[in-house]
Amino acid sequence: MKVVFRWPATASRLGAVGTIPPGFTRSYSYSTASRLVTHRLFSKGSIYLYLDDRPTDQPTNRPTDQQTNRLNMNIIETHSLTKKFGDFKAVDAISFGVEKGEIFGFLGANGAGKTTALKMLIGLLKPTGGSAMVAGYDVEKHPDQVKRRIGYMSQKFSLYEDLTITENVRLFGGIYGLPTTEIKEKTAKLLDRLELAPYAKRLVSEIPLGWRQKLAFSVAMLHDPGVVFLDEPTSGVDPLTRRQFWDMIYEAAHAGVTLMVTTHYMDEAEYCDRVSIMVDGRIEALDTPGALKKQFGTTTMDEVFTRLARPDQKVNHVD
Amino acid sequence: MNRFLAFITKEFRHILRDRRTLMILFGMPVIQVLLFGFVLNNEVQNARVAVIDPSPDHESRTLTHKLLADDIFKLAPDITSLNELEGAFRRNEIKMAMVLPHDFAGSLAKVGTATVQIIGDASDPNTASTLVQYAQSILLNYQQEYNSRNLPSTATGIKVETRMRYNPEMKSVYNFVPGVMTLILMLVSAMMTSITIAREKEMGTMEVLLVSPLKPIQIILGKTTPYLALSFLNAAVVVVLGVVVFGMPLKGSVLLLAFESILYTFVALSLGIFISTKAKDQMGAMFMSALGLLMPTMLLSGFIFPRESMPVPLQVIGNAIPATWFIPIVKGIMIKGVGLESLWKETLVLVGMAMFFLVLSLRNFKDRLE
Repeated sequence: MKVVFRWPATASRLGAVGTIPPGFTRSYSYSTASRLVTHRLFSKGSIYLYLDDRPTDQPTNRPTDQQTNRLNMNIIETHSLTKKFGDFKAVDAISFGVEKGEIFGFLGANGAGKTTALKMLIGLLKPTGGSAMVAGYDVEKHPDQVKRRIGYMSQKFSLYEDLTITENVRLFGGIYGLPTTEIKEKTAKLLDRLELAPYAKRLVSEIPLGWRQKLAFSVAMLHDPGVVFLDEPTSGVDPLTRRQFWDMIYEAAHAGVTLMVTTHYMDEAEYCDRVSIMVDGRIEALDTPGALKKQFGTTTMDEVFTRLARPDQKVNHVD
Repeated sequence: MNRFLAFITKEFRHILRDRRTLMILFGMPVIQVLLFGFVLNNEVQNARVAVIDPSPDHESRTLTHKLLADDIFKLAPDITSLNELEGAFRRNEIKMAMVLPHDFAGSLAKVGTATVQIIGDASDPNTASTLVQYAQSILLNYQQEYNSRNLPSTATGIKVETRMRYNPEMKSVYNFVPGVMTLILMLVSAMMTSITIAREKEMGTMEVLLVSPLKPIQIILGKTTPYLALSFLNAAVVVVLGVVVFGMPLKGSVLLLAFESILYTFVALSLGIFISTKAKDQMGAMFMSALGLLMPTMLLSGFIFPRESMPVPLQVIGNAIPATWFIPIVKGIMIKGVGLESLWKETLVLVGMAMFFLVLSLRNFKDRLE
């Protein structure tokens, strides 16, 4: 028996863990009809709670940035984060918070500033203004503390192609300071889970792209980071592997990892708990996919994005 | 420390798995030393020489015998008159000619001087100058001998007249070992380092490393340490080949030579890092190292062309090239057997360069993150 209780979004937003009844853990399942993964689901045995995030007329009690600072344990939080290159404001005073265990989608056209913003959060770029906290530390003041607590999968391929799978895993385990025994243990577990054990001694260049991406994600998760940043992790990957990839993302979120994902695929935006859309360096919209669609009176994220990013065009396909 | 070890292990794997890199690393020094060595050595051995002696006497035969005593010169017996010289040079039958005057012994005894003409084939200036240098020393030697044989009161002198159309500077046969060493160290340390760092940038793995808890200095050290070790190995191979195969002397302190080589490698490595911060990809890094480092090292440092005969601006530019200072150090230690007391100036310049480029490249490497 599967009982699904509707659980009004207005009472609590996803991620405010304190309001989920004790014993319930996050769950996910596929809806064959829409071929989408529902992840606004919490389970305890055979009892399921479904988070209904359809907007109601009641005002949301989502705290403002100022309040979240004090009230919530936001794992990522920025205040007027700005990056200027000369006179050009690549990122223009963006403020947002991401809660623990959330899958946060970071959308925007090319050049909208999402990669720049992401690079500031992971310490690759220094902000020219504002501040950002990641995993409890200021990215500018304590970059080393931040680096230890985050994982990163770069837009370009992030493993070494001339090393074998095992060698790559050992390398990154070593770089993140894991003890040798733990690295061995985790390597075995990882190979087993990805069903890559027979290919352990193969060079990474010899395995298909989809496998590499899954491997890269697992390697980024090797040191059990609290936050993982994924920069267009699924570009160029076939649909089936993309689905499997998102399964892995949900599994991680289920285990309490916060994931920040930039993507070009609008169907992937639907999989996120919340989505921010950047246009010309500013965050033009930030809410759950459902709320955004309602706000813009559309049925797909694709249209939401098109209206925001290209207000003068009526294009159905972005990218 | 474990992090660092993991990183260095990876770096060695990169090197060992890349055949092209391996070829450059281990093939180049051996090939270059053998090539330079045999080309130079064969030329000065058994060089054919014509001796024009219009009136053979005891003294002229003694001198000719002395000239041919070593393996350096081999007599071309067919050429006996001045008229045949031009043709013989043209047909490349001889490399040098010694022309003795009429009545050699007589003029030495009566007038006290005799003019011996040495003609070199300067279409190959390096060989010609080497040969003429040998001939001159043999003549000088003969002169001393003649003086001691005769009464010291007779002020005898042989006037040696040299006709050299190019290359007034005399070069040492042992030039190539220090030169090749300098070139190889620059190639391995600067070029390979800049290429390997540029590769990380090109592949996107550099970002991943920079996001990791590894500090930039650890990344740089991790990337350069294997090349420092390999450079050292290469330098040793070049020196050993030079000494064993070509009989190059190693008169000075081996320890000092090792220290100076490491110092020079440091300069080259920091240049490599600097180039990698400027180059966008591997191709860019390769071109920048080839044009900016290897070419000047070969052409301006005095390795192939003597610095003394360069125009002043080129000499000034040459001063900025690490090899210009390292070559005299190697020569000094190996050939002259001198120590730090006569090489401190060159050493200081290298220390200064190492510090300058290291700071510059570290700053540039960090700047890239901002």
